[in-house]
Amino acid sequence: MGYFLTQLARIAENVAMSIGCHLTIAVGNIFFLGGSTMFCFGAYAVAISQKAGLDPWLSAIVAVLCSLVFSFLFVLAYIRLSNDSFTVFTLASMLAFEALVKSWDTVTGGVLGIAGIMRPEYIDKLKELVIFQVIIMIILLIVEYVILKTFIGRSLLGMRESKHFVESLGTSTKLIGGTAIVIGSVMAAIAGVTTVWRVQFLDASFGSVTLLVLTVTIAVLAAKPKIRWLMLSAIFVTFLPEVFRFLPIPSIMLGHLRIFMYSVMLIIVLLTISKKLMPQKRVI
Amino acid sequence: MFFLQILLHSLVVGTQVVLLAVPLYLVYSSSKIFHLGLGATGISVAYALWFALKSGWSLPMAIIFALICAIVLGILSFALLEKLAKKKEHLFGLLVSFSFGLCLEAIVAIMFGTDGKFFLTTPLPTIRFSELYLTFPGVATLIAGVILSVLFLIIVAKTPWGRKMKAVSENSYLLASLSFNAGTVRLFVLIIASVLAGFVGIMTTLNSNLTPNAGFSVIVLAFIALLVGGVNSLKGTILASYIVVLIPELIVGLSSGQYSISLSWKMVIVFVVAAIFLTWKPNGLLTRKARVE
Amino acid sequence: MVIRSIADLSSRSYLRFAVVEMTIWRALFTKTMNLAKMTMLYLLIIKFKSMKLFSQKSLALLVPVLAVVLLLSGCVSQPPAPKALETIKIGVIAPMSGDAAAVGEQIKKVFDYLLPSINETAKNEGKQYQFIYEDGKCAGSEAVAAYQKLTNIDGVKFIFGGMCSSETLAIAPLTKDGSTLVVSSLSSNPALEGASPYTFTFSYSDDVMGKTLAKEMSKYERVALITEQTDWNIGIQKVLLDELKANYPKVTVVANEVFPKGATDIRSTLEKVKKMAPAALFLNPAPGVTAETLVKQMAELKEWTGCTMFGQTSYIGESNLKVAPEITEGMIVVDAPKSTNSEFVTLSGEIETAKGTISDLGAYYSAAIIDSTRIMTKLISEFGNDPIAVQKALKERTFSGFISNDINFKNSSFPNIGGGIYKVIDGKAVYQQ
Repeated sequence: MGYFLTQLARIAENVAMSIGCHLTIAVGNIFFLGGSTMFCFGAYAVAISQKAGLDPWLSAIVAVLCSLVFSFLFVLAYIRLSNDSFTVFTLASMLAFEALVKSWDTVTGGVLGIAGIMRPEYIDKLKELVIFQVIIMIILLIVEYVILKTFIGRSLLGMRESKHFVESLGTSTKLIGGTAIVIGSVMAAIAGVTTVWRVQFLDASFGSVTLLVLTVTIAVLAAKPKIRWLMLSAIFVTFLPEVFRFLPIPSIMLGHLRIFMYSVMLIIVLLTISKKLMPQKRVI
Repeated sequence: MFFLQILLHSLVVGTQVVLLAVPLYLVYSSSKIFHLGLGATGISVAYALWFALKSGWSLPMAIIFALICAIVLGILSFALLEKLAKKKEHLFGLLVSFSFGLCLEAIVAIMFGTDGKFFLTTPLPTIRFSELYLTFPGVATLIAGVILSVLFLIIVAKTPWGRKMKAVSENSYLLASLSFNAGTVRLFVLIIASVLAGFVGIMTTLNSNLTPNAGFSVIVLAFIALLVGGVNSLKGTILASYIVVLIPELIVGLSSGQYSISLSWKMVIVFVVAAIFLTWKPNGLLTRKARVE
Repeated sequence: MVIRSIADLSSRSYLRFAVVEMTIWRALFTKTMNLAKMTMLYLLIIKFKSMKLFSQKSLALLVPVLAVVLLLSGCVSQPPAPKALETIKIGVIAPMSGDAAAVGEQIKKVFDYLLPSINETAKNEGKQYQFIYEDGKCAGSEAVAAYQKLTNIDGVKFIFGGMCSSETLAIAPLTKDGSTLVVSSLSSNPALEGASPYTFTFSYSDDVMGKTLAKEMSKYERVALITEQTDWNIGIQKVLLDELKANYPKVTVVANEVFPKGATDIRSTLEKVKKMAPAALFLNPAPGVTAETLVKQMAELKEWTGCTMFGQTSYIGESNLKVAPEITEGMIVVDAPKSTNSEFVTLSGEIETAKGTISDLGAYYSAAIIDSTRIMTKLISEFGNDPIAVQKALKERTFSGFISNDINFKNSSFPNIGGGIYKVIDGKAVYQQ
């Protein structure tokens, strides 16, 4: 039972994390690769707050607020830098954040990490926590659904079509893009908070290149700006490597095979469905 | 002397980044795609050379084998990226090349394992100038870096081939009307980039050791250098490569006592330096403001 | 596809189809009998629902189909065990991918080598052991997923692992109910002490190593440390620094450098340390390629005269000592005692001959894996598949092995292992005390 609960929890976490990616990359064509950084940031914020003596629920609120503030750094980078620079900047942020948490051991525990992270009251058992995570996932999906139906969602879709056109209608693409980045960052941080409650241990390997590839794969595979596609994509991507556990593949190869499979999937999806993600360009 | 020694080591590391930033610039110039898979390509070529030498092949044969591997990887990169380059889907190209790099790393890890490999099992021979020293591969890297940087600066700026390469990404249809095949130019560029990346991979490995994911951190540094220097300026890229490496290395190397900063902080410093430069000059160090359409 | 077309098929075609389908399922789920059976039952229920259950046709098909399922279920086991032997599954959580994958691969080599000899002994007691490997990726969250899979799907009651401290620390809270007993061979983080009554480690605690090193290095006034940024190395560094500060105030730490895990160019760091002219230098890399790279790059630097080198388990094996004898000769190495026991040396040589190098694992940890496997399988053979009984015996008894003649967990989650001092003489680590 615990295994299936864990897999359900992972789907909920992956969906929560990928919503931000979906909103920015798939919907708005903003290549924001800082989701993994924000995931880690949220996890560390809640763990450090708890270590400082705060109640777990309060720590979660503090973590979300800190993530909101921190995400403005990415917004600043988005406003100042070109698309390419912003993409690489957010990619490099993951490496920099990892180096920071590993080195700043007085606060983060360094490579030794932070053990014994407590779960909040009422959700201290795995089953209750997983139910909580599923509820959070549903709420975040509803939020994305609502966003897609509102002015922000339509502007993001318009930005994917033509940024200049959106600007000409008097909508600030920087503002809309920044809003999407903040929303995505906060969602990733919430996913980090619930994940660290489930695992109850945190170290620098929490956010990694594999996590980044996983969330980008989910977001890109979801392709269309529809919630059900995101859900299906998350379930598919989360469960697919689990199938390998049951196949008679040498365990030494398993981990590398997983990364290989994610990246091949991403390449295939990007090469075959990229024209569906991008609008058809008119050829004169 | 201590400062000079730290500077020498930093120059070697900086040159390794230059030698990877140059092919990155070439690929970007011809296709507007950031080829994040070049780091893994370089490491794969180094593994090919190691495998050939371990299998008992002679050095010339092993080098030819590594060269063939580099060319094959270049052709593979072309097959993956050409469609996206034609459609000007640059950021998807970045994602595809990133995934390609991860694929290569995973394949190499499965084939050769993740334990480190050495070309030489003994300490490297060194060249000494009074109290200063450099390893032979380090000297070779420095010399190759200077020669190749100057060579490519001349080729890109002064030769028809360099102009063709930049023209491809600007307007491939116009280039085609002058009976130059854009696809051929991009293929050629990717092959040269793969060969250069392979050379860097081998030099880096000679100077230290070989692991499947050794290429990732170097390629990120090279990328940061390309952005800081300006994606349209090779001179800026070369200059930025040294800035992005030298500043953190000197900060780490020269700090001491209670204010000593360890090597583990290097990536944080690189990130901060890049953020400062990108905020100050978002279009690159040596790029002049162009008319925005 | 299958379900919709059922009603259209004749009974013979249906049977053929069912057999083919079952063969496919069997091929996919060879390892997991329970999952295959569950899936087949589900399919059968769906199929017979669509064919009007209890009709003559369905009954005519039911018997042969069920017969095939039972036959195939009987065949689905790996490896096929003689009926008299009880198969006991033991899980192994180790880093099979990521930065520590090299160590994980070598851990598997040791387990794979030991399994036939363990089964040979266990056959006499009517038992047979099967190791099931899962990738912990040296990360807590992955280790938890691996643990859940082993306990819920594979039904294991005993787990060797995690190997990284982060893996073990993450799964320790899950064992508190006594449903599983977890024994690590490599985890050394002091936070493991008391993390769970059902979690033990055969590694020495970082506390022990740090304190032994501090005692040895206290003979020098100016000391320096170079540490790789892994949980194990940082754990030793912290204890060493705290111990020097608390008990040896005359010792000055002139340099305390940390380099990233797996760094390949450490020359600038070495220059910095050399400039401070320490009288003693503690080399603290992870076992394997970084340990080799460190001494090689030190040898290129030259001019380390007047500086006594200290090392840990990474420098107990000859492979890392011989690459730069000018640096390693005379090095004081702190490791567990008796790691160079001749029987162990022979055994590890046999493992390397049969399975390949285990140099990244190091001597102590290879010995810890061998001891933990032998002790645990012996206890399981005695008490059966009962974690609570085995845990009780583990806590009450004293054991002898390669890591020590006095392995006991009476008052601790760590074995009662002290630090051993070795000195490198002519390229070999010779035990001093």
